[in-house]
Amino acid sequence: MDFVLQFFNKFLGQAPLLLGTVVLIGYLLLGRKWYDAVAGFIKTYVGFRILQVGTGGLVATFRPIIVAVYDRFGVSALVIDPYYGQTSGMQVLDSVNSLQYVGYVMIIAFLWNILLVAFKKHTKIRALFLTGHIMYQQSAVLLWALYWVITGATGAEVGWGLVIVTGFLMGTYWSVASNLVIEATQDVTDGAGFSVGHQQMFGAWIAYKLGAKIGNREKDVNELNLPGWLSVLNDNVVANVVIMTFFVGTLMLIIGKDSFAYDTNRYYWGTYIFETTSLFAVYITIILTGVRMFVAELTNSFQGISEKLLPGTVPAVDCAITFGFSPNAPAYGFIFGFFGQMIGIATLILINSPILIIAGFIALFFDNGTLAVFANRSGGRRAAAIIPFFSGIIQVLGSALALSVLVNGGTNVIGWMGMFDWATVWMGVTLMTSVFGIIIPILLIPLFLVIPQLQYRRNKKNYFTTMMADTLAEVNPSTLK
Amino acid sequence: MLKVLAACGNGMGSSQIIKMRIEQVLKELGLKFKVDHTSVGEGKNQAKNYDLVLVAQQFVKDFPASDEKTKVVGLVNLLSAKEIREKVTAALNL
Repeated sequence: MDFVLQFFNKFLGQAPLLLGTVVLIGYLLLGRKWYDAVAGFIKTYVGFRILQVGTGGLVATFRPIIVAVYDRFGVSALVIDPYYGQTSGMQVLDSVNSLQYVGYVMIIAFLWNILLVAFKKHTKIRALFLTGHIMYQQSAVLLWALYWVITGATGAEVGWGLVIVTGFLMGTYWSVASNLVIEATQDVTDGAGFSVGHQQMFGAWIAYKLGAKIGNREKDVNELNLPGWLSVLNDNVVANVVIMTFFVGTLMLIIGKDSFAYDTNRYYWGTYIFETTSLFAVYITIILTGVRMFVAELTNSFQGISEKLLPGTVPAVDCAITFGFSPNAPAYGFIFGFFGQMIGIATLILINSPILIIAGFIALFFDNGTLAVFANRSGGRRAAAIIPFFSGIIQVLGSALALSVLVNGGTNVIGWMGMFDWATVWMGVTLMTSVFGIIIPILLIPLFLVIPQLQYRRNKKNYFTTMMADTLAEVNPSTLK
Repeated sequence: MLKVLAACGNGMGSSQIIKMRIEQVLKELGLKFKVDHTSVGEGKNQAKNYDLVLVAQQFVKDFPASDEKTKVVGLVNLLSAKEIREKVTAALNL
C-alpha cells in the first residue's frame, strides 16, 4: 500500500511523467512497437519540460511590469491570451503541488467525451474534441479558476472531488459545444466533414446565427482585396513582437523609465523597451515548441484510440482549419476585433477599473478571425465586421470580470484566456462559483447536456445524416486501408 | 527518403492535422518519409531543406515558389486525405 502511495506521489504525481505514461500506454494499446512507445514517452516528457521553461520565463518577464504598473497606478495589468491564461493556471497549480491534476482532468474529460459519443442515440452528441493543445490548456485554466474561487489562498492541494467535477464539466463542454457548431461548420467549409474544437464554439454559433440577421451572405468578404502588409500576421513571431511592443511598450512609456531597473550603459530606454517586449515572443515561442512536441504525441495517441473505439465520429479540430475556406475573413476579424478591444480597454480606464487588460495576439487573430469566418458565411462582410467588433469589447470586459476574482492569486497570475467562450460562459461560471461554490459546476453538466437534445428536436430528420457518409469515410483512415 | 514539412499559423493545431493526414497518404503510397510540423513564420526559412511543403492555400504566397528541389502544395481542406493524395502525387510526379 505504501509503495502504491509513493508511486502516486513520486511518479504519477509529476505532471510530465504522468503525461508521458499516458502516451506510452496509448501507443501500446494501439499496437505500436515498444521502442516507438518509449520514444513517445521521452518526447512527451521533454516537450512538457520545455513548456515549463517557457511558462516560468513568461512570468519572470512580465512580473516586473505588473509590479511597476501596480505601484504607479494601483491597477493590475494582465494579458488576455490563451498562453498567458495557461501560464497563470500552471504556475498557480504548481505552487500548491497540484500541476499533475491537470492531466487527470484532461483524461477524464476525454473519456467522458468518448462515452457521450458512444451513446449518441441517447445523448445526441456526434463530435469528439481532438485539439490536443487546447485540451491541455483548457483543463489547466478551468481547474485553476475553480480551485482558486472555491479554495482560495489556503495553499491546500487540489482535492480529487474538484478534479472529477472539473473533468466531467470540461468533457461536457467539449462534447456539447463542438456538437453545436457542426451544421454551421459544414456550411462554412462546404461540407468538409469536421467540426470546430477550440475556444469559441458558442461564439462561432452565435456569430453564424446573428450574421444572417445583420448582413447579406452574397457580399462575401473573400471578394475584397486586402492590403499586403496584413500578411505579416501570418508570421506569429513577428505578430507577437509587434502587438506586445505596441501595448506593453506604450504602458512602459507611460510608467516612465525611473520605474525600471536597467543597465543604462548597455541600453537606450527605447532598446530596453524592445528588449523586454520581444522577450514575450521568445518565451511564447519556447512554450509553443514544448507544447508542439508533447501534444503531437498526445494527439496521435488520442486520435488512434478514438478511431479504434468510435470509427466515423465527427472530429472537432483547431479553428484555424476553417480559415482555408475563407482566407480574407481572419484579417477582417483581426482589424475590427482590434478596434473593439481598444474600446473595451478605454472603457476600463474610464471607469477606473482595478484590472487593466493588455490585448494579446491569439485572441485578436484566431478568436475574432474564427468569428469573422462564421459571420461572413451567413452575413457577408457587414457581419464579419460588426460581430468581431462587439466580440472585441466583450473579450476585454468579460476577461476583466473573470480576472477580478482570480487576480489575488499573486504574482503567478499574468492573464486570462480572452477567447470568446472564456470571456462569456467561463467568466460566468467562475464568478457564480465564487459566490455559490462547487454546486455551480455540478449543475452545469446536466444543463449543458440539454443543448444537443434541443438541437435534435429541431432537426430530427437530418440530425445524424448531416455529415455525408462519403466525407466521413474520407476522414476516417480505417476505411482507407 | 522524402522529407516533408507541414506548417500553419501557430504551428500547433492545423499543421498537426496535416501531418497526420500526409503520413497516412504516404504510407498508402508505400514511400519512406519523415514529416515535421511548425509555424509559417519559422517554416518559410526552413522550407528549402525539405522535398515537400504542405500548407493551407492562403499561406502559399509566404513560401518561396516550388522549384526542382522543394515542392510547395496549398490545401483547402486540411482534413481531406483525398485532396492531399491528388495534389501530392501531382506535385511529385508519381
